Amino acid sequence: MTDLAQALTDRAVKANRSPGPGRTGVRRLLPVVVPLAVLVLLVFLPWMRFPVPGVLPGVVNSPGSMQLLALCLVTGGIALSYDVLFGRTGLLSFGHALFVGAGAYSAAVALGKWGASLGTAVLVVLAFAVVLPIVVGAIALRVKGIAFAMVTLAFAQAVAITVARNPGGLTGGEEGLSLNRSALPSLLTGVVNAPYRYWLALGFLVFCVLVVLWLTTARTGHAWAAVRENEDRVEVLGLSAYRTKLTAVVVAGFLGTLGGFLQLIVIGGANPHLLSTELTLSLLIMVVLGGAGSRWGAVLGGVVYVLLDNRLQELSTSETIAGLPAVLRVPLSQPVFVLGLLFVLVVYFAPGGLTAIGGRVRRWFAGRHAAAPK
Amino acid sequence: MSSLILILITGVGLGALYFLVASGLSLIYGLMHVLNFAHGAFLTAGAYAAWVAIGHLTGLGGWAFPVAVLVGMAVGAAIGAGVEFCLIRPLYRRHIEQVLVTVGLGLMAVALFTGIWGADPQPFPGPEWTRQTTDIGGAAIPNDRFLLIAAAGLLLVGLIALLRYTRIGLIIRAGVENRTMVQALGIDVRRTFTLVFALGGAAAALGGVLGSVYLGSVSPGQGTALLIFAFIVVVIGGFGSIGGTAIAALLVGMVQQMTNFYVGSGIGDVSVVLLLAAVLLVRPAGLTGRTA
Amino acid sequence: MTPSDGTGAILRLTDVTVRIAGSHILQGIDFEVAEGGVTALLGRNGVGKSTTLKAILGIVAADGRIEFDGREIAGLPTHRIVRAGIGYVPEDRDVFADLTVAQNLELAEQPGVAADYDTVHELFPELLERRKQRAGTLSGGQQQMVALARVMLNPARLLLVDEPTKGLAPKLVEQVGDALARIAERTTVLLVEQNLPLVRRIAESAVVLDTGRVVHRSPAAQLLVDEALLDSLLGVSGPGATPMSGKMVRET
Repeated sequence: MTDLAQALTDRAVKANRSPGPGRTGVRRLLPVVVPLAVLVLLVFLPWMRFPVPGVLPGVVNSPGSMQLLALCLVTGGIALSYDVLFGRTGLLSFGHALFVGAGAYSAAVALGKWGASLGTAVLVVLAFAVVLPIVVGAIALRVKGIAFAMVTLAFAQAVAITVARNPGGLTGGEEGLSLNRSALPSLLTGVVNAPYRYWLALGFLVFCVLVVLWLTTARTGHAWAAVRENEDRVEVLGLSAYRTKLTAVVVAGFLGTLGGFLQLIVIGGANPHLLSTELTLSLLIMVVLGGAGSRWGAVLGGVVYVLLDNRLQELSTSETIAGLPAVLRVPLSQPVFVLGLLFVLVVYFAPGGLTAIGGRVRRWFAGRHAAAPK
Repeated sequence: MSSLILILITGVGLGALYFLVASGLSLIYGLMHVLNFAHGAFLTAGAYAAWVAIGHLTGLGGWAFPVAVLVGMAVGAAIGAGVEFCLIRPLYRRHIEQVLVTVGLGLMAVALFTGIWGADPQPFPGPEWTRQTTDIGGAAIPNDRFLLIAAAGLLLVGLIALLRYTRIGLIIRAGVENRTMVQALGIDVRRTFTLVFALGGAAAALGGVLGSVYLGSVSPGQGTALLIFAFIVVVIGGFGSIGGTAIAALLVGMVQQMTNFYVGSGIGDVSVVLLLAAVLLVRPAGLTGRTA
Repeated sequence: MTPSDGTGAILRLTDVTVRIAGSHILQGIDFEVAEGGVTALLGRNGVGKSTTLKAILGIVAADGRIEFDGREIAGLPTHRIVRAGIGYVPEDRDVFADLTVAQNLELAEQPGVAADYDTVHELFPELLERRKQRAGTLSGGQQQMVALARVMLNPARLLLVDEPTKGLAPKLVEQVGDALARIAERTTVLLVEQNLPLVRRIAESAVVLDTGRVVHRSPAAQLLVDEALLDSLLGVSGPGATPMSGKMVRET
């Protein structure tokens, strides 16, 4: 559905466009300096002991908070991988969970059922990360638009159903597989080592961001954007639409599979939810919420989604909610309801997502500055 | 022999259930090019509405169930019309956002049902006779299958009559072919959209209620689970074609049942899902032809 | 409905712009259609003639002003524009293949308006014979008759007709020409055509487009005798030339 992502990303891109040639000196460096500053901040988080009430369950470097933040970062990376397909290339996929689940389950099975070493498990994950997207892409990209979306849905569902049936006792069925911690270095296991898992997650996110940033600014990214804008005319430019799209699927699938592996380590298990359509749809929500196709939208959407989901779950059992009338209490006690509602509101009123809203706020402030008399 | 008869008839029964859910989906996409991910919500809402109604109508004795079914269908129709009028119509021409909104609604609905009634399946007491069986050729067929088949048959006849003999039906058939041209004849297709959503909602709700009888319980996720099979049926049968949907529903139901029985449990589910992919790869035209 | 302004223009386009999928198809169209008679909209393939008609009808989104009978119609939903008195005969006929001829015509009937079947049956007796035939099985010429008949059933003030003779045999071209001439007696027509002899026969004014802009306006007769002008604007050498066939660029 090229039109789909086209319109949403158009709005996101327009909203995020820099205010023109008027930008001087320091202002021009902001898009580089700010993310770097954020990165430095993130690296040093495990040394920070202050609380962030309402956002984190404990002080910043408590195991619970570190765990939550690690999940945020991994999800941000996976959301970014989905954005490569949807926001950058205009490919609507309903089967991204297939990659995520493959990354988690392949490693879980290798480590748990086959007693493989960590190194072997990583190789297995990498093998899936490369081969699976190529196979899926080669088949699914024979069709376009909604048909493509439904084919990806079909593949993901077929695998999900098969895994849930626990063939040969391999996948643990509905319960899933827990991570065989004895195969991991002791640095990554145990509650007290949450910061190390956090840094691993951060490393994964940085890797995803760098890969996507590099490709987006290279010819590949321009080809993706061209396909997103108008697939039929891409051939005229001397590009192969099929190969461009396949590259997108491979990159997205690769990063998504790695993300699944990271999920396994952070959460401590693989479960059927990772293969579900609900997961793919939540990725769609994250990307749209943050701003499809914009530089930081997907990551932001992923982080916000996980935080909101976690906080809302806490809230649902709290006293504030319990005191509300049922009409409010029941919906608010369901995080997915709130997130879905936010998503619908964003689609209606702010299609460029959070980054677009941020852009508008920024420009509003800039406008007030400009309006001030000399 | 008797097991073959059992499989055949239960396969038809499953196909009937799929037809109930898929018919609305087919009309909605055929006419409006909206892939209605909220369709499962209509289904589940109807099922829960009927469930609640049954709980309150114990005084009516044997009439409680039929009334509850009607209540469920009315709720499904109302929700369908409401969703179209309030949420889909303002996004007229923005197909993309329409699909996203139905996705969001579908998720919200499941969450809402979970919040109200809990995530666990609640037992759904169908009438006593549905739990009994009828002997056909040595096979004991559960009566709820016949109920499904009868309902689907009625719906099929009703829809065909609507499409063939009424002006609304004419508008729908023309609109499925070329919605823009219908507008260019001065007809406000948008009103027909609301009607189609209402019809789809009612049919889905009927499927939801009877599906709950078939499953013996009602749960928040049953709509989503059935939705993928409804999509499969619509894709195979062709969007906007009621006859095609009916045949495809039958086909899918039979293949699923027979494969599950003769090859292995669960393999049938996987095979029809893969059948979706296969059909799309060979004949994507029905979906990409006039999309957005 | 407010009476048209003193200039007698039933339709006025002002700076109409249309963008589709990133392409700037119409880049500021300005022209008027005088009430009564036929105005021909000419131009090479792909310059935006069909898009102009679609913009008037609201089928594609357009910026700019479109006034019908003095009333602003840009931005209104298509069915309201049609009800205001504009009829449309699209380029590919767009008859409903699955419906019968009679059903195709029935759909065009408007509530509260008596449909003029007499004129239709007079001009196109074949349609009466083939009432119960599925429109998809009709020949191109017969489908064109259905498309024309549809708009003739109702008293429209303006008809937008898009290449009605495309792909038709000469005898049918004559028949279509007769029908259009008959229609033009009582309705204003904006006619997109490549068939210059037909244009010469029935058109009073001509408007020529090139890459999304109006490049020439004049009485039709004046344009059609000027071979050099015709060649530069349309790439053909006069009403005697065969109509251009085939499309190089897909017109949206």
